[in-house]
Amino acid sequence: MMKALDVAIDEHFLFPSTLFAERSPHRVQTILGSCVAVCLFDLEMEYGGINHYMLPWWNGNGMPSPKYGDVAIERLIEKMTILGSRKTNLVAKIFGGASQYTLNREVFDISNRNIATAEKLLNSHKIRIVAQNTGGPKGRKIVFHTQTNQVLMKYLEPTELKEAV
Amino acid sequence: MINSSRHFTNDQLIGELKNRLGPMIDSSQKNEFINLEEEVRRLSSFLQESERGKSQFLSNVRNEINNPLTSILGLASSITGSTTEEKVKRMSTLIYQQAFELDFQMRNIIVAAEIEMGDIQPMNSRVNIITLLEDQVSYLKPKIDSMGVTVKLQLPDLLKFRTDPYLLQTICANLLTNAIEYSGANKLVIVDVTERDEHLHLSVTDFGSGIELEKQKIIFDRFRQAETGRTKSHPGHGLGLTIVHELVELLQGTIELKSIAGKGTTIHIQIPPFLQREGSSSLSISGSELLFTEEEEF
Repeated sequence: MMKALDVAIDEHFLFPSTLFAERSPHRVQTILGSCVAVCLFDLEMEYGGINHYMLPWWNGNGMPSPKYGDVAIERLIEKMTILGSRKTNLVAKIFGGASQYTLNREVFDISNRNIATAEKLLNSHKIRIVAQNTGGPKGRKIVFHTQTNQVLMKYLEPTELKEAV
Repeated sequence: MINSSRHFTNDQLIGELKNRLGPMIDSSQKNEFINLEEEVRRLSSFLQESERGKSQFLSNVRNEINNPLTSILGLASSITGSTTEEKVKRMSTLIYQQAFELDFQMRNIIVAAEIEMGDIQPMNSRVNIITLLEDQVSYLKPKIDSMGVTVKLQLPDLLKFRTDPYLLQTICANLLTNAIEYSGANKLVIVDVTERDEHLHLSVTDFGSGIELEKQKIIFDRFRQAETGRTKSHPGHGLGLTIVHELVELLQGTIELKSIAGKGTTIHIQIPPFLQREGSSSLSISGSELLFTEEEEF
């Protein structure tokens, strides 16, 4: 399974509040706590893009950057459209949005609202969610293969969750 | 027990029920509604603010990009017809200053656009903080000279730190420009840098007019300056500190503003060392190894 993928493919580490979409194959890695990442894949052109947002909606403070789910999802769709995708060819995978019981209510809300934002916006764009691993107490590390739409995921131990975003 | 309940009034009973069930109801639904309502209110007032901000931004751009450009064109055309060397020298200095201002504003607008597009990819590099700051001061020399400001650098002898040099440059340039701009009567700006608890601490202090308490919270908003309208006496679009704030956050750092009206302002930033992200199997965050359970595929 991993054989074909281990050939030299560019690696990219995705930082919180940024997004990534390129036509050439990449292995994009990111670490998620309460944050959510949306992977979009173009079934026809066979390439993908991914974002990593920290908060559900832009509340008007600071810049409307991909730190916020609504901005991050719109920008990712926009970017893939610029690269030649048609929205009807896109499918999505959603990851992240972890919350621990020990964490306070606010964080719990943010995690859930982060997930809800992805579901709601993708739904309104009529982009099908083909895989989802969200919520729960554990943070996640994911590696997205932009050429195959394959996502490898590992759980982080709950004690390490505070380190991730 | 049943008998004794007769002694309770309805209000007391409701009160008791609230006490017992309250926490449950409160935490699940009530909070949700309160949150929603707050969000809607904030959003609507924000939209109004945003509209105002945008038109202000446009009028700023008109003034601060158009005016230097007009001066540059005017000065350049008069140089071509000018005779004395003295005059040419004076005019080219002015052209340089105007072009510098323009370049600075344009850079900020581009960085802001990159942040908004999520296009900024922090790079990991071992940065000589001393030379980076000295370079920034000499880069800003035209502005420092024209304002007649003294910039005092309080630096350790040697400080190398793992971070993104370009982002840190942009942060420093904006903090310095801001302090120079608002340095007030005694024209002194102090930059203090140390490495403490593995973090980079950088503070920029001016002794200008300071920022009133109620305006301190808007200072990091885009398109906003403490002063607006016709009385506005400082250039810029109010983008500088917004950019600083966003970039510091991107580097996982924190920013703090301390200001006393009439005394001056200190902006303090704290940045952790850049995390090693190499290799997809072993990953280290803040020195501690992450533990993963079985890998899954989606």
